[in-house]
Amino acid sequence: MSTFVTNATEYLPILLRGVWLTVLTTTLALCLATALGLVWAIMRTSGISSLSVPARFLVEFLRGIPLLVVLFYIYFVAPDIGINLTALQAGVLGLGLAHSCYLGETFRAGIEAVDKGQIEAAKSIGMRRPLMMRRVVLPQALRIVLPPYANNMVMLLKDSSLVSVISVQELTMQGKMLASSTFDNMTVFTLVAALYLCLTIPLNFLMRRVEIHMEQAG
Amino acid sequence: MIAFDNVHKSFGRHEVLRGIDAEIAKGQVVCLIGPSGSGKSTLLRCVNGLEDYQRGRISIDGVVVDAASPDLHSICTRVSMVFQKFNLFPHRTALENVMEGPVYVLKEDRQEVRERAMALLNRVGLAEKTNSYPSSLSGGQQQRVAIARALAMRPQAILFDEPTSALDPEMVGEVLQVMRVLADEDMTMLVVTHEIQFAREVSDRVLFLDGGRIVEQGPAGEILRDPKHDRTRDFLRRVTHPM
Ligand SMILES: Nc1ncnc2c1ncn2[C@@H]1O[C@H](COP(=O)(O)OP(=O)(O)O)[C@@H](O)[C@H]1O
Ligand SMILES: [Mg+2]
Repeated sequence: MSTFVTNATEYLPILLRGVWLTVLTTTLALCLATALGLVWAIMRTSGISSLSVPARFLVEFLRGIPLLVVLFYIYFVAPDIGINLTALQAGVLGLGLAHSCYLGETFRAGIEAVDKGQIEAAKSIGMRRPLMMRRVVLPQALRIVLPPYANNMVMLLKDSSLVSVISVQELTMQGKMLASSTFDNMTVFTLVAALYLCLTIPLNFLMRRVEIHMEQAG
Repeated sequence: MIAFDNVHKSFGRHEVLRGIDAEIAKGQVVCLIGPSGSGKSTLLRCVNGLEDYQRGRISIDGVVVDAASPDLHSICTRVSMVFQKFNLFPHRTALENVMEGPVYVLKEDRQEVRERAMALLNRVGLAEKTNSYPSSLSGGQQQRVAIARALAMRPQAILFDEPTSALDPEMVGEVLQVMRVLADEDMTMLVVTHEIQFAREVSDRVLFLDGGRIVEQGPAGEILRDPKHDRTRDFLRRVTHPM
């Protein structure tokens, strides 16, 4: 046990560097996925087929490809067509694109779940669609969407371990390197798992608090 | 003020309005009665552009309501609507619900709108509830907020679609009272209702709609006391003696 503690204190600073990159990758990818997901959802619910059809196609298309392949594609194929991305950029782009599909579907379901009477009320005070989306539909969809969104966030964080395959030195990658140089698989991967939990559990907790807070607000 | 000229409206192949002709003068209160499915809501919704119509013409103060027109939104701001299920914005307080249209659609000065909204809520008897969310208000209170929200747009007319039908019986009175006061102040109102007593006391005219046509129309007292048509008579018997 005491060797575990000694070794752990030795490994932790190295792994924490990985944690930082995991958090960075996840945060950036989440921002991208949220923004794009919102765009897909608004396009799909617009009722304008020249917007909804392409969005639907894109989402179906991206969802049909494994995330690993998306990452390989962006990192290794993009340079062939003259786009050079760092590993981190490629990782964020791949994760963000893939998760924008899940979030897009989540947001769409949320938008469609808003009571039709709300849309009529908004129209009856003369609101045009953009204002209605911003002031009436999206705030209500947000409440509906928050629990699945939090779920998605945790999945994204876990999926960020996949960017290790394109050499982003995030937590999983740091763990793998550390394990292969120390042969102390037990200690290293226990720490890696524990560090992931340290990230996901507070995230879940935080989201539950936000939900409760929003419910109280009416 | 509101004129219907041979208005036809279909949903697909189902013709719901079959040639509506009517006129509502400024300051008049007109009640629209008729059996369920006769097209009352549809007619109302055509007036403020929530539905389009295929033939004929609806005009407000001479301006044609046309769903394809880019001016449709400005028409909506001149005719407010009160819904059966209130449709208040649940994520905003009573005051914010009332302020929403004037501030964000009409882009009026927020401070000025706030004062007006307060006065309106006071007028419908809800001065104490300005900061309450709809979920903490009773049905009657919610509907009164909805009326205040409609009034905040300074409309030239208000459309009411069965404003008391979703209310518990003990709350019907407080909403009708607010509407009575509006009628006394010469607000132009088109009201779909089953409250025959209200129609008799408050409205200038009653339209009886059946199967997408106006079967009968005239002064409230006349039609409600002595209907000419069998259908009107049947309908009135059913709503006044529901057993
Ligand atoms: N959005 C719609 N799509 C298809 N049919 C509709 C729609 N709205 C109403 N209808 C039909 O139009 C008819 C009139 O409806 P409505 O105007 O709501 O009647 P009322 O308000 O008098 O009860 C009904 O037969 C109803 O089924
Ligand atoms: Mg109706």
